[in-house]
This record gives sequence, C-alpha cells and structure tokens, in this order.
Amino acid sequence: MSSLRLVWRTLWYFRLSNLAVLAGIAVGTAVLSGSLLVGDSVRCSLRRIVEKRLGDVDYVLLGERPFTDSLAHRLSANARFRERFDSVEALLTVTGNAAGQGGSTIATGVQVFGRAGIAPGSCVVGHTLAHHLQAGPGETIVLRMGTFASVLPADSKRGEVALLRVRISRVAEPMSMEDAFSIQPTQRPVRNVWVSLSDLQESLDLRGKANLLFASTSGKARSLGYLDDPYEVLRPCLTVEDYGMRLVESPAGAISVEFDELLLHGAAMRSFFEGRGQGVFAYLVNSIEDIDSGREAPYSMVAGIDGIFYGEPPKEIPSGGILVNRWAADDLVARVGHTMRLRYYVRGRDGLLHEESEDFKLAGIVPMSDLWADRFLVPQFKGLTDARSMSTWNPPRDLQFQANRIRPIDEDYWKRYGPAPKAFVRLQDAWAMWAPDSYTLTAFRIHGRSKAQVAEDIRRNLEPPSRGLVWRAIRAEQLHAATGSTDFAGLFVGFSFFLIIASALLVVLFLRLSVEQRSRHVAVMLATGFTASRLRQLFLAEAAIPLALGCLVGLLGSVGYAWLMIVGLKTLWNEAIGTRVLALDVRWQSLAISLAAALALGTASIWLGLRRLRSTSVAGLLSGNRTEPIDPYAPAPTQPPTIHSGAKGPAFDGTRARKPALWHWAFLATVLLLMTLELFAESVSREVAFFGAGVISLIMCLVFLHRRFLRPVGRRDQRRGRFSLFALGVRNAARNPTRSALTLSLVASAAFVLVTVGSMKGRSFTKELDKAGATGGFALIAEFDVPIPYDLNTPEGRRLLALKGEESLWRRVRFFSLRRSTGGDISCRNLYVPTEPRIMAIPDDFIADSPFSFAASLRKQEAAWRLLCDRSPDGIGVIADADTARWILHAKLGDHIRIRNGSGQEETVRLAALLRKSIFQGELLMGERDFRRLFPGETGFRQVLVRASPADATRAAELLRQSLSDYGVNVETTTERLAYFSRIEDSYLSAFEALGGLGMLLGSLGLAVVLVRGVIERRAELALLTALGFRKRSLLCVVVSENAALFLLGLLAGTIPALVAVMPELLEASAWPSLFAFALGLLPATGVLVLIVLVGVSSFLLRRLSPAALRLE
Amino acid sequence: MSAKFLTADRLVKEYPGPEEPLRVLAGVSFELGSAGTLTIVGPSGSGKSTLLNIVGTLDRPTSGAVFFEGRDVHQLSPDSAATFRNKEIGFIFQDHHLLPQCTALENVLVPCLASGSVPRERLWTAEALLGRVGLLQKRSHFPAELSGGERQRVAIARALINAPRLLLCDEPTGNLDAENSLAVGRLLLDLRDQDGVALLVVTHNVALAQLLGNVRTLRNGTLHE
Repeated sequence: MSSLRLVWRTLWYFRLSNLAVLAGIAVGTAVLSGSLLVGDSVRCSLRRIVEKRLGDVDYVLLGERPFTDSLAHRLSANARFRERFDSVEALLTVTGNAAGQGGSTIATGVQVFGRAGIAPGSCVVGHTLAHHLQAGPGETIVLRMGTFASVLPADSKRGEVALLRVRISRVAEPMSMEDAFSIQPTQRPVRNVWVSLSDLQESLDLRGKANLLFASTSGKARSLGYLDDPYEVLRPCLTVEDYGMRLVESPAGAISVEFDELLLHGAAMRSFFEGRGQGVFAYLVNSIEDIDSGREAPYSMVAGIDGIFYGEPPKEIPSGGILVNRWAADDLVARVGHTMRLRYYVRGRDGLLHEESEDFKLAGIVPMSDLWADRFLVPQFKGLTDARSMSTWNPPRDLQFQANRIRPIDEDYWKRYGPAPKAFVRLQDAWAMWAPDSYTLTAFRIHGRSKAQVAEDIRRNLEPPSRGLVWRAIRAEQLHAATGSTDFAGLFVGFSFFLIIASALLVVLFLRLSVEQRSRHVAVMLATGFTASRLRQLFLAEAAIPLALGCLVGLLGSVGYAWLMIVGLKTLWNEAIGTRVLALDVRWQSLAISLAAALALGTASIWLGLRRLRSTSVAGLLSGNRTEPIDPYAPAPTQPPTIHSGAKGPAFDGTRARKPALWHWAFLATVLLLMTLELFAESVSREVAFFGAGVISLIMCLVFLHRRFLRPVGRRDQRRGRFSLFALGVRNAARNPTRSALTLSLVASAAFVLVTVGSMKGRSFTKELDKAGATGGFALIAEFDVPIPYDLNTPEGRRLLALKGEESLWRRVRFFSLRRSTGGDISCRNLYVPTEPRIMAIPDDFIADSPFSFAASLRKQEAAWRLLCDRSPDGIGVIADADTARWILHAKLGDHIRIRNGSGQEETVRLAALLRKSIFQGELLMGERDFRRLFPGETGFRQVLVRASPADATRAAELLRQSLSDYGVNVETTTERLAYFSRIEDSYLSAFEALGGLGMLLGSLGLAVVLVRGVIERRAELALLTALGFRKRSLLCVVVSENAALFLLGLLAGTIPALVAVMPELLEASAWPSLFAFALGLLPATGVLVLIVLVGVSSFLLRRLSPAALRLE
Repeated sequence: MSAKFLTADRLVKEYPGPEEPLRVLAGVSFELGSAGTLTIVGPSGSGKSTLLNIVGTLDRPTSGAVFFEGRDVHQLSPDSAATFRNKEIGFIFQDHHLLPQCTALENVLVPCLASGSVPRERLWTAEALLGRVGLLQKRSHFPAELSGGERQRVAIARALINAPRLLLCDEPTGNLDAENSLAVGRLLLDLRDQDGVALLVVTHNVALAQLLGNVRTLRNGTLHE
C-alpha cells in the first residue's frame, strides 16, 4: 500500500466525479487554447492572402505622376539593381469602373493595370470582377477611367473620363495575383483588370509612360533583408522625364524646368530649387487694363517671378507693383504710375471658374528683349502654347473663351513673341491672386548652367519622394499589416470568457461535491493522524491527474474548437471578416501558452474546490453534519475545532463579527458614480461606463441573493412565510449555499451575456436621421471612382456634369462635396493594420453646418469641428470615428497617427476629436486647406453627401446613378451604410452570443448535476417523505422547485444588471425590438427547456426511490 | 498501572444556545491508567461522544484540560496533535468509515500513509491484525463485499496498526448484532489484557459496559459512579 496506490484507487473509484472534473478542465482548456488558435489562424490567413495577392512582387515604385516606362529597362541594366532584384516591370494603373456587355451591369472600384505582354484590345479580368459582371472569355467590357490630375478639367481628349473597350482573353484564377493584387492591404475581394500597356497609355494620352513598377528580389536577396536605402539603387537610373519634368533652353540664356502637371504645388521641391534658380508662376489673364488710359488687352500672359528679374536691365518690382513690356505699354498707352487692372479666372472650390480682378501700380516698362520677351517663361500647354494663332487656341471647355475679342494686334504679338508674358508681378502677388493656399509655380528658371548640367544636378541630388516617386517594400509592409488591427485571439478569449469561467466554476463545483461526498472518509483520515496538509496533498495528487489529462484532452479539443470557430467565421459570421480565405493554423507556441494558462486556471479551480479542507470540522464530519458553516454571517458558535495546517482558523470566542451591509451600499455607490461619470465626464465612454455599472450590479445581485436567500432558515425566518412544498424546495437551496451560489453565478453570468449582447444587435437607425445622429442628417452618400470636378450645388456645375433632373428638385437638395485621398479603408471592414489611412477633406461649409455629435474632443462639442481649422504646433488635427479610433487605430484623443501624403511621404497628424458612431468609419477627416496642401493632386470630389427629404432622396439617387455612371458613381443611403457597419458588428456579437449560449448550457448542466447530487444525498430524506405518504408529484415539486428557483433567480440576477449595462441603448429605444424578441422568445424558451430537463431528470431519479432507501447500508 | 497515563481535569464544553449557552460537559474529571479501562454510559445527547472527541483532540474544551502522560494535549500544535493521534491513539467509531476504494488490508494500512509511506513490516503487521480479528482470508475484499460486523472488525484492526497505547471507542457495537457486539467486546478486552492498551469506551450497550467494567455514567454533564 502506498500513497500512489491510494491515489490511483481513489481516482478509479470516483471515476465519474473525476471524469466530470476532467471534462470541465478540458472544456476550459479547449476554449482558451482554441481562441488563441483562432487568432493564429486569422493572422496566418491574412499573411497567406498577402503572399497570394502579391505573387512575386516585393517592392513597388509608385508615382504620384507618370514616369517613363523605360525606367524598368534602365533599372534592369543596372548592375547594382541586378544584385538585389530578379526582375522589374513597368505598369500603368488607374481607378475606374467596368461595364459588361450591354452595359447593364457596372462594377465600380475597378483597378485597371496596363502591362506589357497582353495583346492589344484584350484583357485579363480578375475572378471577382468577372463574377460581378457575369462575363467570360470572348466578351467585351468597357472601362471608364479617370485621367491624371490636371490643373484644368481638360477637353474631351484629355477629359476627366477616358474610355477603353477590351475583349476578355482570360479570367484569372481566384486569389491569383491577377485577381487579388492590391497596393492597399485588405482581405476583401478586389476588382482588377489587366490590359495592354500601350492600350492604356493611348487611352490616357500617356504614351511611353508608367506610374507603377513591380520589382522582385531573388531568394538570396530576400534573405538579406530589405534595402536600407532603396533610392541609392533607383536614383542613378532616373531621368528628368521620370521626375515629371522637362528642361527647356531659353534663348534668354536660362534653363526652364517645367512640370508635367503644369502647376507645381507644395513646398516639397522648394528646398531643392531655392538657391539654384528662380520660381516662375505664369498665368493667362482675361485682360490687362490700364484704368487711366481706358485701354485693355485681352487674353494675355502675366508672369510672377521670384526675386530680382535677371533681364536687362535687372529689375526689382515693389510690392503691389507691375511691369509691362514695351509692346503692352504701347498697346495700352500706359505710363509709369498708371493703375493697371488684371482680370483673371480662378477656379473656385465648386470647380467653376470665377472672374476676379486686382489692381497694380505700373512701376516700369521693360524692353522687348531677353527675359521680357521670353516665350519660355510660360510652360508648354497643349492646345494653347503650340497653337499657330490665338484664334486656333483649344483651351479647356469651361474657360468660356471668346475668340471675337482677339484683335489683329494680339495675333501679331502672338506671331512674334508667342505666349511671352506682357506683364510681370512679384511671385508673392501672383500667389495672392491665383494660389493663395499653397506654394505654386509653373517653372523654375536656372541661369548660368547648361541643360546637361541641370539634368545631372537633378539626377544626383533630387530626392525621388519629393516628386512623388516612392519606393515601397510592399511585401514587408503588408506582412506587417497582416498582424491585424483586431486581435482575434483576444477577441475570442473575450467572447469565450464566460464559457471559460463557467467551466472553471463547474470544476470547482464537482470538486466540492467530491469532497462532500467523501466527508466521512476525510474525517477518519484526519482522526487517524493525517494532517490537513497531507490530506490536501493526496487530494491534489488525485486532482492533478484529471487536471493534466483534462489539459491534454482540451488541447486536442482546441483544434476542433478553433476549426468550428473558423467555420463560423467563414459562414454565419462572415460579414465580420469579409473573406472565406481562412484556414486553421495550429502553432505550438499558442498551444504552450494556453497549456500553461489552463494549468494555472485548473490549479486555481482545484484549490478553490479543495479549500474546504482547510477548515474542516472533524467532529462535525464524523457526526454527519454538513461541511458548510451554518451561517457565514452569523457570530461563530464555539464549534468543533478546525484541523489547521498551521494557518489561523476562525476564532472560538464568538467575536467573529457580522459582515456589515455597508459594502452593499459601497457597490451601489460605485454603480451610481459610474453612471454619473457617464453624464458629466467626456473622457469615459458612455457604453463602457454603463457596462461597468452592469457588471458591478451583477456582482452585487449575486452577493445580495446569496445573503438573502441562501442562508439557512433561522428561528426568525421560521415565523415568516408559509410552509409549503414550494417553500420547502426553495429552503433546500440554502442547505448548501456555496453549491447553490456557484450554480446561481453560472446561470446569472450566462443570462447577463445573452441579454446585453442580444440588445446590442440589430439596432435600427431611424433615430439617427437627425443632424446630431450617426447619419449627420444626410440621406445619401455618393462615391465616385473618377472624381467629379464640379460642385453639384451650382446650376453651372450640374450643367457641366450633365446631371439630369428638375431644377425644382435640385433647389431642395443640398450637396456637400468632399475630396478624398486614395488610401486604405480604416473601418472594421479591413482586418489589416492600416498603413495608409484614407483621408477625407472637410470643407468650410460642412464645418459651419456642424453635423454629427462627438464622443470626445479637445474642445467643447459645439466648437469641435473648428479644430480642423486650427494651426497647432502639435500638428494637423484630424477627426476620426470613435469606434475606428479605439478598435482599428488603437489611438486615443491627442495621439499622433502616421499617414502618407499625396507624394507618398509619411506625415503625422494628431487626433483632435472623436465622432460618436458615424458614417465616417473608414477614413480620417482633415480640414480642406490642410488636405489640399498634403494632396494637391486630388482636385476633384470623390464623395458627395446629400441632404434631402426621404422622397427627394430616392429621386436624387436615381438621377445621380443615371447621369454620372461615367464617373463610376455608387449611391447608397446613409442608413444602408450604417446598417452595413452594424452587420459587421452584429456578426461579432452573434459569435459572442453563441458562446454565451454555450455558457448557459454549461450553467444548466451544472444545475442538473446539482439536482442529481441533491437527490442522491437526500435519498433517505425523500424516501422518508414517501413513507410518510408524500406522492411522487409532491416530491417532484420539492426537488424541481429548489432548482427552478435557482435558475429563475439566476436569470433575474443576470437580466436586471444586463438592463443597466445596456441603458444607453434602452434610452435611445434602439434596443427595444431585439430586447422584446429576447424576452418573448429566447428567455421563455430557455426557461421551458430547463424546466423540462429538471422535471425529466427528477422524475427519473424519484422513480427509483423506495422506503428501503431509508437504510443507509 | 501508571496513575497518570491519561487525566481529564474539569472538562467543560458549552455550545451557544438560543437564549443561553448549552453546557454539555460541566466539569468532567477522570484518570485512566495505562492498560486501564473506563466505560462511559449515558442517555443520548448526554455528551459522551463530545467527551471522547475532546480526549482524542478532535474537539477543544471550553475549559479544562486533558493530560496524556503529563502533557496537555490541547497545547499541541495541529501537526503535533495529528502525530499524537497517529501514534498514540486508535479510534473506533460506530460507523466503520472504511474507504470503499481500498481492500480490507489496505484500509488497515491507511493510518501508515499519514507519514507518507508504508514500511514493508507494516504489511505483515496489518495481516497479523486481520488474522487476529478473523479476517485474514478476506484481506483482498472491498468493504462492499463484507458484512457489517466484518467491516467493524477491519476498522478495529485499522485502529491498532500503529500500536496505540490508548483506544477511544465511540459506540463500537452500535451497528452490530448481539453476537458481533460480544465478539468486539472480547477483542477489546484482549487488547487491554494482552497488549496493555488503555480503553476509553463510550457505549449505551449495557452488556458491553458490564463486560468491560469500570463503568461511569455521564449525566447532567458530569461523571457519576
């Protein structure tokens, strides 16, 4: 006989009980480990998506504007480049939409790639796009794409929308590189089409151009890690043309550096050119008028020049002053000191040209030579500078060019001097007139150097990113982003929290039952000289085996649990993740972590379950008394001594004080404090405050119930209430208060989870239609693949965009046009860490309107929008949706966030305010002025919010879709948008609900075990009642009422605090429908089911009772 | 016989009652020599088991003391008290409280496990004790396979495995028929006479009390002749 043998024998003898402990531990381990495996699986799946999506592409070169497609050849010929890279390929890419044959199906958000190797006139369509268009090989699709940013909306050739008709040669395999490639990391399907590079170049009028390079590294190079300075390899291969510039040699002896985009915006180039030359801003004015002489010259060029004019003679213009050349002076009969008026168009925010004017003092008249007659001060502009005469000009269509204003003298000037400026102002004055918001130039003039020298200087010293050429380690970026914005492991641990706690509580329950079952054996062992610690060692040794086995079984089971969760994510809860490319990944590290955690949790549960051994009354055990103290809150009687293991036991002098009810009031005060905080403190999230109050209420309810209903009947209680079968049953619940309390806690916790989760799901948004709600009072959102250049609020803008519909309708509708960058979606739709958040520009009219409401702000709510206008030393202020900030960006108020500007360079912005649940969950909001500075290329509007009555909104949506399909418009209601986000949230809540339901199942199982145990323990008592004439029906009432009371109390204890937790939703009446559904559906169904089980099990057990059971042996 | 082998000095035991404390023992004193016998009888609820539990350090007196060879047993630390019970005292209860998962032989050896291991010679001692109580042939039987009397005899053997010098018997024949009761009584006498074990027996079995002798009645919380 040895301790080990005793342990083994006991283990086997009480195998059912130990099996129950093993099962409880296995469940807890499986759930915990499974949750970690889910996290691993999601992360690995996101990585797998990246690998499939990128194919062989490791690096990309992105151009804000096109570069030469021969750059790829130059790079591949470069020895240094070949050391690190296997291949490089030039592509042209643009966003647009695609229409199938017949044009009935249109797909928006299509990414068009032009690449070599695809036959002209044909295309390869991604699987997702083909599926959407219901198109296959041999069919023709029409692509509508946006042209590149230009200062002016161009004519039909350089129009906002370019068309390309191609025939599908092949449909790419699902999740192949062609189907799924994306610069932005996303798990959601993308719509790609690959066309011939030459076709796309022709269509966009960009022959010989590309704006994207793919580069693949060799396996060896990949193992060397990513390049420290990739530009070191890139820079020697770049030409001036790659930078989107051209050098023009002027007869006046200067080299003009001109820009493909015509207007150079922003100060990125300023530091390079300052000290090297002079900035020039040339502008076409409608007229130059001499106010004093009354003469005017139409359609003339005026140049703003930085610093001193290096013409002969050198001139410096005073502020507010103007120089005119001799020709203009003679034409206008101008004299020094005259007032000269310039009339010119500026493009307003609405995209339309508005005429403005500015007066200057004539400071001098310059000769027609050198700089003063240099046509190369004006950059080349197709249709204008290359025209043979002014009457053959082909200006932008909205310029309202009146050819009849051209005089013969103007044509003479044009013949001799071309577009040479007639007047000159200071650069600062030019900016004030034509570009007040940003540093803008049309050219740089460099004196005293040759073209070759300037080209070499640019090649050697210009930083490619300053011209929007950004080299990105896209594989590294996206693999990093694949760590995920949402910690799925933590999420599922959270979802499964109650399940884990329920299984731990069951383990405690089973262990306590086991100890109680063997109480007399315990007493004998103590009486024969076992110390309590020795006894505990034996019990622990015994419990260690189901613990270890339970953990191992649980680990095996965790794979199944994780698989089940993955299946759930791919089916029922697929809205949450938006991809079915999810596979189970089992990592030993997670198994090891969860094994350690499960062992710790199991050990804690065992310790709690065996805690009674610490203070066990031997005499009481021997006499058959229960192991529970009679009333934990009553003064302790001089009861039999406890057998200690050196620890202090309860006092024997009866001085053990009654626990004061004060702590109940302390809990209540905490609940009230939390609720008050929610009302008055902006920093505490309302939902968090109420949920915290709910949890505290739950604990308080359980404590209250334990104290009030689970203490044994005393003499005072006996005088109160009727003594009935039901009352007898309820009183029985108090005979084993701890056991009953555990069961109560299980049921209450599960009910709490189910009610809170149930009421959060499926909210309606009818209350959100007002201006302070989540829709901001907007009825529609219209998004455009090709930005529209004009504001739809103006009749002229509507006319230029050919928007159909009655004027009376449009007068009732208000549009808010917003610019937006092409970054990544930062809403809950995207599981990847946002590397390049999308930015939305908020204009002044929107700020003045002040829609939505704020969850938190660095200023008072009424002034929160004005934060976007602030000039703070802490950086540009942005606004984000509160949920996005918390769950995706993991940022709080005042934090700095990294973004990329239009040139692809990193900038940081500061989170200045948080919107309370809004439609702007996918982007950061920035003031329009700051936006235009960072994204000067985003000249059109990609999103329009529409405020209209419901009836007008329906009509407006229809007309927008019909009229603006060329721009790839997608129109949806704001409630649809909110409902979409809500469905994602509901998917997560459904998962939570399902697991909470499993927790309720476990709780019910615990209840059933308690019932069975109770009947077995009291079989003699029940047999006695039978002998006394009680019918089976009556006994059933006693047994069932005890457990039904526990269940109902548990439901109550869980439901009432849950209502506190969801008070915000209740007050907004958005939760009532789902709450009613729960109250009238799930709750009674669960109650009936549990009642049926209780009655069934009790009936079964009671049928086996007989008076013979009165004999204990 | 040593006069001060076991001494109880004015033992008082009170429990809190609804209005005033319930005094179960009101100053019990006795002396028991080694190899002596003290048989305590009394009506149900008179405090017999309470007295036994106090002597066996399973309960504490409200006042008074118990001396075992001059040592106050209630001054011992919990571990020392456990060792004392393991080495010096054997308990025999009315209910046998055998471990159902162990055989008869293993049940006898259970007290040896209190120190962690069972020396080989104890096995032989256990077999000898089972033989003494007439159950050697049933040493591999589980309690469920034994009769009530046989279980009680196994319990007696268990009480003797560590060669205690004092046996505390609480209604040792309470669940037995007359024949078995007599057998148990003779066995107890045997142990006293042959092994020199002191007996402190609590019973309401008159025949057993007469057999064992030195009978005192516990009434109104005190011992009477």
